[in-house]
Amino acid sequence: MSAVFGLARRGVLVAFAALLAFGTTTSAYANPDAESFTQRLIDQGVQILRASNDPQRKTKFRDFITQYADVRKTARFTLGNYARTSAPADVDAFVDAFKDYAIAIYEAQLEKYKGESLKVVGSLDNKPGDYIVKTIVDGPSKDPLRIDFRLSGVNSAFKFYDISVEGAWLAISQQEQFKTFLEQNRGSVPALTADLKTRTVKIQNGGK
Amino acid sequence: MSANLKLALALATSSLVFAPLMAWAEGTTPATPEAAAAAPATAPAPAATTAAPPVVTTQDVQTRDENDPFEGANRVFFDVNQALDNVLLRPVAVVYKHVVPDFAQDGVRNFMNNLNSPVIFANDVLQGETDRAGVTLLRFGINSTIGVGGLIDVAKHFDIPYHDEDFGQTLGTWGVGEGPYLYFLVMGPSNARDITGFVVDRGLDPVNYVNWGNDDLEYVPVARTVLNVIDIRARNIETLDEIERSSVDYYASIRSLYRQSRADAIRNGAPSTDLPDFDSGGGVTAPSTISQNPEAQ
Repeated sequence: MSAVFGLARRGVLVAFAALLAFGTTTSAYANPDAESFTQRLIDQGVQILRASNDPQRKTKFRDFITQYADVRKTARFTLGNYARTSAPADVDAFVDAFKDYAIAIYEAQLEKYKGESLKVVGSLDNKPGDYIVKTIVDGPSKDPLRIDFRLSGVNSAFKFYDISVEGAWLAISQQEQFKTFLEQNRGSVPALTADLKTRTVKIQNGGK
Repeated sequence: MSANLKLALALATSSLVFAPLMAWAEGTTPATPEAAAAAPATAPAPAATTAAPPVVTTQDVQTRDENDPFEGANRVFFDVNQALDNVLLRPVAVVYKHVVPDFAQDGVRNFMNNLNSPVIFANDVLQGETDRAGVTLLRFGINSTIGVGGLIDVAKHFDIPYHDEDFGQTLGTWGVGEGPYLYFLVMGPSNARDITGFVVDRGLDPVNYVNWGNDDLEYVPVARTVLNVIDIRARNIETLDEIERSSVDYYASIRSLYRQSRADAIRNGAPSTDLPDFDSGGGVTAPSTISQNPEAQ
């Protein structure tokens, strides 16, 4: 059956070559270091999560995120203006809670794809020291899924600080949610911190 | 469901509601792609380029604020939809997902996608995307014949992948702004541009005319809509559960994800051109260089 598909596929591709000329141009890597960093990041994260019998798995994943993610940068961004106007101690407590929250989300996300092929397919220089690395999740029975990583760093010392799935960025969505929450709670960052802690437990427990 | 759809459409197309919405949209949106391209000009200078930058689209400049002047009413509809989803749609979708075999679910999805080909083709053409229009036409021809009336996505095996288009996206490529965010009963998230697109797409869809002069086929458009809704819900059970679990404000989360996803769809997946600068609290930066890793394709 696959041979038939192969022959037919070749014929169709030749016959409709002009029609299917998407015109995609390729160039040299925009940032091969950022791309290889991201591939290592994915491989290492999936490797940790695949070791389901390892009692140190949670600790290892936390250390892994701490090493490769700029959680403080993301956390302060999601707070928006409140990061500058709130008490520094409240912001620090929020950043700590956000770290647990982000790790729980990253773990849940990566857990879903640990059996799939997730590979780097390109990158984009957003500005000096700011890169977007594009990856594709390609499972045997699923349609390809686009996941992009946003990195910062110079001289190959990168950290990621946001992830998008099919073009929707996580931190941008979180900033919008947190802003609404803070507006409804008189700008109380400690209230948001408490809510994040509850959310983290929910994510870790799963279910509806 | 049908009555609610009509209610949503009546609300959206009412001249009392709709005219101010469109006027509002026009007033907050660059009128031309050139104007949109000029919008991020105040962003920090981009790095040196090695390739042409991606096209900037008008919706890129609108993604930062919530754009939700009717939030009160939207949240009421959202809560009603959540209740309906919890007691009706989600349970039905769960049963559908666990009872109907995977191959049959794939068949339903393939059939629905194929059935929507005329609408996709029309919007490909309206957007001037001749290559993509050719792909849609080719997919429709292959899947309608070899693919047993669209039940099997044979074209996918020929590396002719499915893509979606609708008139909301077409309006976006023409430079029409999204207008205010709207949340409808049953239909869910939308905006002034997308609800307009929805109405136009229904007019473009041949399936909506199969029952003209034939009362025996009156059920066809309704049955298609119901099956489509159940199938889409079934395919997103885990994803929506996950989003709800992790959301501090589920309504705001869906709003943000919807708006970002629609902007991405209008760009046909091309990179966004106005990602916020995290170090300056959300300013706008412009991308400069894109590369593809040919070995990874």
